[in-house]
Amino acid sequence: MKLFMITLLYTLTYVPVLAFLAMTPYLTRKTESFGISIPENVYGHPEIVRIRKTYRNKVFALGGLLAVFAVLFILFTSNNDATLFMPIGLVGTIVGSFLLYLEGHTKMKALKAVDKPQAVVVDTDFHSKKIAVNPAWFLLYAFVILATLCLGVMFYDKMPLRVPMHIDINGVVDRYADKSYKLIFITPMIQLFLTMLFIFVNYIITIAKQQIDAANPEKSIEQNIRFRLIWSRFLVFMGFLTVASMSFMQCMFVGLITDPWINAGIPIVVGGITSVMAIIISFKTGQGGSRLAAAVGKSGDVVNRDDDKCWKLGVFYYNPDDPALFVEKRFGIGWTNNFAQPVSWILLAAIAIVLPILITLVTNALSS
Amino acid sequence: MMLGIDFESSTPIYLQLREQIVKGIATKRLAPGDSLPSVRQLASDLGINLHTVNKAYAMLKQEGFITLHRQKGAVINSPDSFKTSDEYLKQLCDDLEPMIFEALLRGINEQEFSIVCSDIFKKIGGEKS
Repeated sequence: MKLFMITLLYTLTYVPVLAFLAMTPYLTRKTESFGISIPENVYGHPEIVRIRKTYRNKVFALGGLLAVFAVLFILFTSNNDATLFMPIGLVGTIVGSFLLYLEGHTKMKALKAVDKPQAVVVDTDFHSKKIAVNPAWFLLYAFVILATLCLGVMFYDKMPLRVPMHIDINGVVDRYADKSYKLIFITPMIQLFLTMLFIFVNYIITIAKQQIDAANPEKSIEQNIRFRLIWSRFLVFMGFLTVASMSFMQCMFVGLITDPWINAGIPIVVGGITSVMAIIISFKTGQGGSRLAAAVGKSGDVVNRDDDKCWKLGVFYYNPDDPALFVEKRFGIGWTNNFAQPVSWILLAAIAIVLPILITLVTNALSS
Repeated sequence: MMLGIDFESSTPIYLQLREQIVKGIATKRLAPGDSLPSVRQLASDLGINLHTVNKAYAMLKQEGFITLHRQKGAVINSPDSFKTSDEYLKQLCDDLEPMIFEALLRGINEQEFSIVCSDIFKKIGGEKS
C-alpha cells in the first residue's frame, strides 16, 4: 500500500511538473526564447532549436535522476520522513531547471541582434471584451463554504473527543487535537482564504497587460482572448474542486468519515487531476495563446518592442516606466509582476503576511 | 480600434497617440459615445509612462474630440463639439504652408498637390466602415 501511494504521489505530481518544466521553451511565445525577444521567423533557426533541445534533455535527465533517488530513499527509510523527499525532490528539480534555463538565456543573449523597426500595438476595446469568467461563479464557492460550516455546527455532537488532524503517507493518523468548537472553523477559514485568492487571480486575468504581436495583431488578439478565457474557466473549475474537496476534512473532524484513506487520498487525486489538466491546457494554448489555431491575418514587417533590458535574467520584469502591474511571463505560462511597481511588493507582502496569520490561527485553535 | 506606436519614429509618442485617435474618429472606428481605455490601462498596455497618455488625452480634450468624465473616463464627443472654427482654419493654413513651400521646391504644382489631397480624402473615405 505504501509503495502504491508513493507511486501515485510521484506520477500525479512530480511527472507533470517535470514535463512542464522541460517543455517550457516549447510553450512560450515564438517571439521569446529563454527570456530574450526574437522575431517570430527565427524561432526555427537551427542554433535556437538546438538550445531548446539541450535544455529539454538536460531537465528530463536531472528530473529522472532525482526521481530514482527519491524512490530509493523512500523504499529504504521506514518511517514517515519518506514524505519529506517529495518537496526536496521538487525544489531540486525547479532550482536545477532554472540553472539550465540561465545557461540557455546566456547562449540566446550572445546570439541576438535586432534590426527591424520596433512597434507596440494595442486594441482599445480589449479589456471590455469577454476575456475572463464572470466573478459571480465564485458564489458557488460561497455555498460550499457555508455548507461546510453548517455541517460542522450540525454534527458537532458527533465529533470524537480526540479529533484526527493529520494522516501520514501510510494512512495512519499521526496527529490529534482535543474536541473543540474552534475546530469546525478551520476548514471554512482556509476555504475562504483560497476563494479570495482565486477571485484575485481571475481579476489579474482581466487587467493584465495586453500583449499583442505587432507583426500580426488580428491573429494575436484572437489567440490572447481565448487564452485568457480558457485559463479563467480552468481556474474557476480547479478552484472549486480544491475548495469542495477540503470539505472532506470537515467530515473527518466531525467523525462522519473515519477511513483515513479517503482523507489521505482525496487531496492527491484532486491535485493529480488538476496538475494533469493544467499540463494538457498548457500544451494546447501555449503562452498567451501562441499555440492556439487562429485565422491568419496579414504578417507585417515589424517586431515587438525590445524590452530585454527590463527582464532581469530574462525572468524578472523590472520597468519603472511601465505602469503595468501584471505582465505575461517570458518563460512559462501565465503572468508575473512588474517589480518596479511598489504595489507589486505590497501584494506579495500581503500574501506573505496573511498566510502566516492564517497558519497561526489554525495552530492556536489546535493547541488550546 | 487598433492603436499602434512606433518607437523609432521621430514623432513623440503622445502625438502619435493623438493622431491615431483622431484618425479613428475620422474613419468612424471610434463613434461618438465610445469610451477610450483609462489612462492607467492604456499606459499599461502600451508600456509607456502615465504622463504620456495623460498628455495625449489632455490635448484631445482641449481640441474638443473627447470629454473626460470622472466615472466613464475618456468618451468620444459628438461631431458638433469639434466643428471647424476660425482658429482651426488658421492653424490648418499655418500647418500647410511649409508643406506647400517644400512641394513647390520639389516641382509639384498646385494641381498635382490638389490631386494628392483628394487621393488622401478618397483613401479615408474607403477606410470608413
